[in-house]
Amino acid sequence: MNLILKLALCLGLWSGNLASAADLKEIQARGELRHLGIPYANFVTGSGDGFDVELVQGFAKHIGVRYSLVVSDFYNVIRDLLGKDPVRKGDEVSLTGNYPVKGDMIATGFTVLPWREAVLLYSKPTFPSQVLLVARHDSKLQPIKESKSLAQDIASTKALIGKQSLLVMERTCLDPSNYGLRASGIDLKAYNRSSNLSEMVPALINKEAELTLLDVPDAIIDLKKWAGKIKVIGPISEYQDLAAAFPKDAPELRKEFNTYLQQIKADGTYDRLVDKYYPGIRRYFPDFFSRRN
Amino acid sequence: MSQEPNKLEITRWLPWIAVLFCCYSFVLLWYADSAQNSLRQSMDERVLMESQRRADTLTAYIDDRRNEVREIVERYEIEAYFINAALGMSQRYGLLSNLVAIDDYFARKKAQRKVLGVPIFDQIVLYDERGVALTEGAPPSPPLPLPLSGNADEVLMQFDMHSRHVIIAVPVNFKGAYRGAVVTISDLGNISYLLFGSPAKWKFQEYLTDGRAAILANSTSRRWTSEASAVELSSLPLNAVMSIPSLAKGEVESNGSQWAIRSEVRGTPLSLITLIPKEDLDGALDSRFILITLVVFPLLLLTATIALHRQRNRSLALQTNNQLLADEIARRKRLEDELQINYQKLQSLTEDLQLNVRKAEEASRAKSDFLAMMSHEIRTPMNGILGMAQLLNAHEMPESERRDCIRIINDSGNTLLTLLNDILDLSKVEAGKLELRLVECSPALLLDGCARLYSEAARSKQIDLVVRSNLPERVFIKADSDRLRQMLGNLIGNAVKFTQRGEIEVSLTQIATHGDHAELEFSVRDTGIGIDQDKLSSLFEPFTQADSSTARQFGGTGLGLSIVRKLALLMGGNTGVESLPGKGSRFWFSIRATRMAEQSPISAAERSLQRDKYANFSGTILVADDNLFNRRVIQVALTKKGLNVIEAENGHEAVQHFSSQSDIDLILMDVCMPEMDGFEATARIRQAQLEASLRHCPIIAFTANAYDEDRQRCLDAGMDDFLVKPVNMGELERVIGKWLGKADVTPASANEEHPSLRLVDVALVAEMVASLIPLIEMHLFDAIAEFEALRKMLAGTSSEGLTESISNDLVILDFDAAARKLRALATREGWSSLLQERSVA
Repeated sequence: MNLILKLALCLGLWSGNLASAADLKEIQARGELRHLGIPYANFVTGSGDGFDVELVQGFAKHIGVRYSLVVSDFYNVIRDLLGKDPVRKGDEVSLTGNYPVKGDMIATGFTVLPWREAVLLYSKPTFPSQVLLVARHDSKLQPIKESKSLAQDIASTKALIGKQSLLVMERTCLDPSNYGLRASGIDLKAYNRSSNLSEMVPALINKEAELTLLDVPDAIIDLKKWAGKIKVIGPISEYQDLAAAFPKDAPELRKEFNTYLQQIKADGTYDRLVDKYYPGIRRYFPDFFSRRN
Repeated sequence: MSQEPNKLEITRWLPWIAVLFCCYSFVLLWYADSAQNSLRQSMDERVLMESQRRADTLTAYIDDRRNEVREIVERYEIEAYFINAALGMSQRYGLLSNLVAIDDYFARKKAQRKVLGVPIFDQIVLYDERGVALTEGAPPSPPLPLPLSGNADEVLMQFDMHSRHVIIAVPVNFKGAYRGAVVTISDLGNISYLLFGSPAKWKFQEYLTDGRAAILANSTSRRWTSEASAVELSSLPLNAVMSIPSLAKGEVESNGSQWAIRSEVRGTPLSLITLIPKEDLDGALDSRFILITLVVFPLLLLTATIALHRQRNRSLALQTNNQLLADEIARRKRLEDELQINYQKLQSLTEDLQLNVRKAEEASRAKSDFLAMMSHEIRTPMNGILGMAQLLNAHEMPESERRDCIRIINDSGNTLLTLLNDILDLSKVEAGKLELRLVECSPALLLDGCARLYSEAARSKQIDLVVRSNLPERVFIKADSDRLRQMLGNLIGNAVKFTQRGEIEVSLTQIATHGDHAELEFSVRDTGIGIDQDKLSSLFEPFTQADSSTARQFGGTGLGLSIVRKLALLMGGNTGVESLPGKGSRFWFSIRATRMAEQSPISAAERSLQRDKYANFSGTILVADDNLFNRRVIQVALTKKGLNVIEAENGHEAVQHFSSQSDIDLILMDVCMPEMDGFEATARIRQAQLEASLRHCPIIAFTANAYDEDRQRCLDAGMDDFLVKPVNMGELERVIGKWLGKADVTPASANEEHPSLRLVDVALVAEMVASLIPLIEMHLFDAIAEFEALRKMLAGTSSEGLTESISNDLVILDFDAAARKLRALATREGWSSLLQERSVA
């Protein structure tokens, strides 16, 4: 409750400094929807396509405007959306600075996190995810034996970390703050050479740390790619939702996106996109994909 | 008709041709059978190889699927899973990612691998070593017993015909240990696509059978057979072409007998069954119908040909019988026709006969009438002759009475002679034996002369006789002048006879000319009693007069008009009559004659002829005739001509005279004589001449037989010339002059001394008058002809009128008047003094 109040306060204080965000009407008036995307897994691929690319392209068509992809990264993507740089301090999040607004929405396998929800409007989930703890194959750590409880499995996994080094990437879905890993004595090593999550496994294999975090979409790719080089120890997080993010002052745009999302789930377009970019993912997250709404 | 024998010949050979055809057909059949067997063998080998090739194709296909499963097993996704599994990762937190990748791969594999657009794999499942399915979509239990042995080369393949699945299982080994298996489940239909099948009527079909319970056909048909059929087909020997009658119990449709080949699909428990309809493989030659036809047809043809031949023979026999019957019918028809014709002819003949009978009756009646008439005509003068002769013989009578008796006898004789001449002329004409003696004559002069002959008679009846001619006298034609005079005399005489008052017009008209021919019409019109119209048509018939009463009233034989018609027709003309009773009649006849160059009325030739006719002769003539009167007349006439005459009563005497007297210059030989006729006498005389080498003595036939065949017979008998009784003195002199030659020549200066006879020989005329007067005074009929010659000679002179009058007297047999007038003429013209001078000289 306090967090909400603090956030509200911060927003009130800085509201005068917030750049004006574009809502649905402005975008339609402009005739262009700027999609902020981060090359990551198969959401936004390096070749310019991806699950989220096609998703937003369909949305732009839905609202009758041109589509434009604005490539960003995990460090700057919120700034590019809001024109402010979010600063986390504990549970508080502040928006600082004035930056040019480069996009109208974020859709890039963007994990719904509480602190992000403080400054952004999330659409309904567009994709599931989970964060796993990954070690090199020669690690002494043995994968946990899965139980019937996810929480127990998370606890078992976290318990195995101990004092070993853990490669993380802040301000992303692999930010240790999201999973309570900062205060447990873990040797956190932030990977900051880039904001590309795909570089985490190579860095692990390169022995930059003993462990690393890896979200499921990347794990699906890397466990095949680096089979025999890495091993999943266990889950670090609960199941996560990935969703599109909008500025707080663009509720109509989010609302319209949700409408669009519901529509493509109903007409099968959504399923075709899933099968195209993440075949087999349904088996991983059967509960998520069984929900249509 | 000429083709009929050829047809028969061909028909006769038809059975043999059919036999040859049968033999030829059997040979062809044998060759065809051999060829068929060879072809069958080749076809069997070919279909067998084809079936094996097709089975190998299936084997290759199944091997390909097997290898494909091996490739799946070797995929990195599967290896990655087992690698990660070996690292101890839980399935939920790690291995699931690999399984998702495997699922993704399997899904892509199933979507990409297709045959003919149909996915090859229905399912691809990864089982762990315990037989638990790791990937999605796996059947509740493994479709085949797992685990496998783990041999890397082991491939388990199962064909489940009931579930229509082909199941292939390949073990997955990791680090030398069996860790599971990849199992693929495919629809058998994919294989069935590789099978040949002819949907239309199922003529050709390939089947796959596992030998137990099921069979697979072409995928388009999706035909499955019953277990019984599968077992039956599976029991066929391998690699052999076998005949199966039918698959009655199965679902495989068949059209009768088929050939079946079972080939092994190597590496599988399957067999490829190929069913081919026999007719498709063997063609038409294998058709039982064709074979039976090939065997039976020639036999049928042979049988039919023999039957046809026999039928043909029967037909020909029947046709022959029909022909004979038709011929018989035709013959009887002809006979019937002939009978009919004969019957008609008989009827015609009967009618002709009846007509002829009628005609004969009419002719008989006419001849009876004629005979009665002739009897009357003959008896009348004969009565006069006989009566007068009896008077002369019985009584002494004064000289004047005696002369009257003699005149009556003479007149009656002349009447009889005229009658006889008419009969002879008619007979000649009807017999076609009358020959015209054509001489140059002037028809105008001839007409005028004839008319003058009757002028006195007409004048005595106070009838005017008028002569009209549109033809000048200088126009001469070539015609028989004597016959023309005869014809005109008949017509004019009739006119005079049947006309009591009025006039008679004698006309000559040239009615047409055709080149040098002229058509002349002579007509005599009178104002006499006339003739009824119904009698006109028979007037020119012989022995016919208009009325029997006419004959009784006017006399006559009725032959004259008939002779006129006959002569006119002979001269190329015709006759006709128009008459009205009480008004008069017009009789005419026409002739066609050749026109000659125009001449003076009397030509030099005629004068020469006249001189010849009246020349004197010298020599001795033997006259052989049994008739004393005839011998006497000839003797008198010839003696007057200066000839010495020896008489013989028959041929025998004539031969004796000729043999005893060598100075006989000419013989007049009567043909019909007692003891020896003229022919035999002539033959003996000629024989005597030949034997004695005497000179040829002319013998002149002297006969009453006037026909040409009589003349020819005389000439053939050796006679030299021919004279017809009663003798015409002029003709007699002409003939004698011809054979003896003239004794003297009349002086040519006579004309100068007697200008009135400018164109005539005065001496000759005096001579003729001197000879005529006794003839006329003796009432001899020769006088008429003699005087006619004199009249012609004097035509155109100052004496012409009187000569015409004398001629008329002679026509009516008034010899005394004629003699009186002739003496008066001779005195007037000085011919008597000339004769006296000559006689004195």
